[in-house]
Amino acid sequence: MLEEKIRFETLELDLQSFQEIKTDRPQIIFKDRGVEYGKILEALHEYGPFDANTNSRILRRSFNGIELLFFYPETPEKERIIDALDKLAQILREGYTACKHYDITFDGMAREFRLTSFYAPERKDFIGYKPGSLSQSVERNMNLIREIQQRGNIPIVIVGGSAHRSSRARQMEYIEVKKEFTKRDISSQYVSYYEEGRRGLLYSLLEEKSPGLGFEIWNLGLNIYGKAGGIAWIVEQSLSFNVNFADLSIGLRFARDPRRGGYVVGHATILDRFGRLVGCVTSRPLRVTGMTISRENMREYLKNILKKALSDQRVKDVYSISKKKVLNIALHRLNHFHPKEKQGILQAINDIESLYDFKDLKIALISIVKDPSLMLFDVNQRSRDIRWGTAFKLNENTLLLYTTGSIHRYSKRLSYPIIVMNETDEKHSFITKHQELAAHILSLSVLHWQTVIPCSVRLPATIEFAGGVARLFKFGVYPRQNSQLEKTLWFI
Amino acid sequence: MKFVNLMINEGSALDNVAVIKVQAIVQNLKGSYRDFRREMFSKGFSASFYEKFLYIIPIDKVALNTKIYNIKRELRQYFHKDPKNIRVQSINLTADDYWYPLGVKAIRHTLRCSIERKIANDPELFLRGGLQIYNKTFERSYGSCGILKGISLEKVVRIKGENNIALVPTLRFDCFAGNYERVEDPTLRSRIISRFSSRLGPIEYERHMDELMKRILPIVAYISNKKLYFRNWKYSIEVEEGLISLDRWL
Repeated sequence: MLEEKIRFETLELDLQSFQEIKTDRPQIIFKDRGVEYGKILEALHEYGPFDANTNSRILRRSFNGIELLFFYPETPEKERIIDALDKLAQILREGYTACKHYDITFDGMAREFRLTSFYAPERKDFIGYKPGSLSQSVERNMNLIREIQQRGNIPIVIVGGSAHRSSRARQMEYIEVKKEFTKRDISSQYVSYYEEGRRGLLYSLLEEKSPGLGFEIWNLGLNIYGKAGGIAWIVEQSLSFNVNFADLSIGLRFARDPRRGGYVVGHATILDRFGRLVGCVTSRPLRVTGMTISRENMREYLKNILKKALSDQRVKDVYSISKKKVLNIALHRLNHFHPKEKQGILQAINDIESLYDFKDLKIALISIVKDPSLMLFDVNQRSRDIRWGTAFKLNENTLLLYTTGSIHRYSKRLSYPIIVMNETDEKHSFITKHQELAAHILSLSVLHWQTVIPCSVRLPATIEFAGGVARLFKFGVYPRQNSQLEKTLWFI
Repeated sequence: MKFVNLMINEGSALDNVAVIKVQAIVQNLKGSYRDFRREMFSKGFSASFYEKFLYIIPIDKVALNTKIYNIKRELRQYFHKDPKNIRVQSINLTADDYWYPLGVKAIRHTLRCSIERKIANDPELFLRGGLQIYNKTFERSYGSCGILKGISLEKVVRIKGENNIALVPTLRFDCFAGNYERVEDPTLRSRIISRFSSRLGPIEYERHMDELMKRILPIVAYISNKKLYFRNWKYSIEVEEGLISLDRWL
C-alpha cells in the first residue's frame, strides 16, 4: 500500500547543492539494432521510419499505403488555395529540392516513409465545401474514404484554409474541419494560407521568391505519418546505469474553456517497450471547474487511464513475453501537484495494485515549470549560451533543465530552460537520482514525432500531447472511444 | 564558470519577524480588500488576512511600537466591528504556513516601497505593475509606439535552511506609446514584442540587465525589524566543465 506525506511543494533553492548534472543525449532509434543520429532527418532519409524496419510483430506498421483527399473552402481566396494545394500535392508525390542553404530536400512521401503506395489527388479531384456546411460535403464523399479503407490504405484528409494557429480570426474554420473529420474517425491535416499574417505552408508555397520551405514539408510529412498511425522513430530511455525505466509516462494538461466555463484536462500516455518509448494513447478528457482535480475525480480518471494503457497490445505483449512484474509510472503536470490530487493518485495506484498482479508498483510525480525566471549564463563562452541537455541541480529534488538550445555549437540565441521537480519521496519513486530525472525528461522531449527541428520543443511529449488533446476537446473534438483514430496522433 | 540570475538577500534572515496580529476577518471590512491594502501600503504597512487574523507588517523604518499605537486608531475606520486582540508576534516569514499568505506579499510591498523611493530621483525610470521598472529610452520605434526595456523583480524564492530569500530578476520588453502609455492592442503587441525579443541573445540579455541594474542596485528594504539588502544580480557558480557527454552528439 502506497502512503506518502502529502504536502504542497514549492520551489526552495538550496545554494549548497547548486551543481551541474551530467546528462547524455537520448538515442533516437530508426532500426531494431539502433541508429542514433545528430540530425533526425538525415537518419530518417537513410533508414526510413522505425515501424517500417522493425521485426516486432506488435510494432511493425499495419498499413502499406496512404491516400490523401484534398478539401478547400469556397471562399474569396479559393483560387489561391487551390493553386497552393496543387503545388503541395505535387511535392508530396514527387519531392522537393532544397533551394537555399537552410532548406532540406524531400524525396516524396512514398520514398521517405517507405510506403508501397501513396496517392495525392490531381487538381481536378480536389473537393470544395462551403464553410459551415462541411458536414454535407464529407457525407457526399464518404464512399471515396471507404474505398480507400477497403484497399487497405489509410485515408488522410488535407484541408486548405485561411485560419492559422497564430491568430484567432477564422478559428472556427479550423475547428469545423477537426470536428467533422474526427467524429467520423478520419484523420485530417489543416494546411494554412494565412495571407494577412504572411504565414502558413500554403502561403509559403505561393511566395514569388524562391520558396525556401525549410523544415515545413518534412514537418507536414511527419504529421501525416503520425496521423496515419505510423511511428517514425522511438527513443531509448537513458537510464542505463539503472535497470528501471518508466513503463508508462502520463502527461496531464489543463485548457481553459471560455465558452462553457471551467477547464478541460487532457492526458496523453506514452507507452514503453523494453526501455524504449514507442507510442501514445489518449482517452476522454475530464471537465473540471478550477485548475486542480478533486481527489475522487483524480482517482477515477487515473484508474481509467492506467487500465486503458495496460490493455494496449503493445504493453500487454511486453508483460506476457518477459513475465514482467514491475510497473513504473511517471506522471507529469505543469506547476505543482495539489495535495488533493496526490491523494487521488495514490488511491488510484492502490486500486490498480489490487486489480493486477504486480510485484512492485512505483510512481514518480514530476511537476514542470514551463517559464521559470531562472536562467544560466556561461561566462566561458563568448556568446554566454547554454547548450541543450544542460541540467543544473537547484535542490535535492529539482533541476533547471535545458530541453531547447543548440546541440552542435554554441548559439547566439537565448535558450529558455524548464524547471523539473520530482515530488515523490524516494521510497515510492523509481526516479531517485538527478541524472535519472534529467534523462527521463530529455528522452521524452525528443519524442515529438512531428518535430523535425531537433531540440526545439521545451516540454516533454507527454505534456505537449496532453495539451493538444485538451485544446481540441474544449471545442468538442474527440474521436470515438476505442476507435482506430484514438491510437494515432490525431491531436497534433 | 557560470552564473545564474539570482539576487541573494545579504541582509537579515526572515525568521523572528515582528508582525502585528489582529483578530479580524476580511468580511468585516467596510470597503474592498484591494482598497484597504492600498491604503495600508500608502501608510507604510503590508496587510494580509490569514486564518481569521489580519497580519500587519511595517515596511519602512519606523519603530514597531509607534506603529502599534497608531494602528489601533487606523483600523477602526476600515472595519464594521472594532478589531480585537491587537498584539505583536514573532513569526518566520519563510515558513511553509506563512510564505504565500504573508511572506511573498510583504516582500513585494517593501521592495516596491524601496524602489519607489529610489527611482523618484531618476527621471529616466518608471515603475509599472507590481515590480516592473522600465527605462524611458525606446530600444526601437515602430511608428507611433516602441519597445521599452525593463526589469521585473516579482519572482521571489526561498533559500532552503537559511530562512533567507532571493529575487529572480528578469528582463522584460513591453510595447509603449510615445507618452509611455502601455499599448493594449494584442495583435500589435505580439507582433512588435516578439519581433524584438526573439532576436535577443544571451550577451544582449546580460548587457541590458547590467545597464538597468546599475541604476537600481543596491536595493535596501525593510520588513518590520529586518533589513533586506540586495547588491548583485549575478550569482556565480563554479562548475565542472564537460559534464554533458558530447562524444555521442557530434
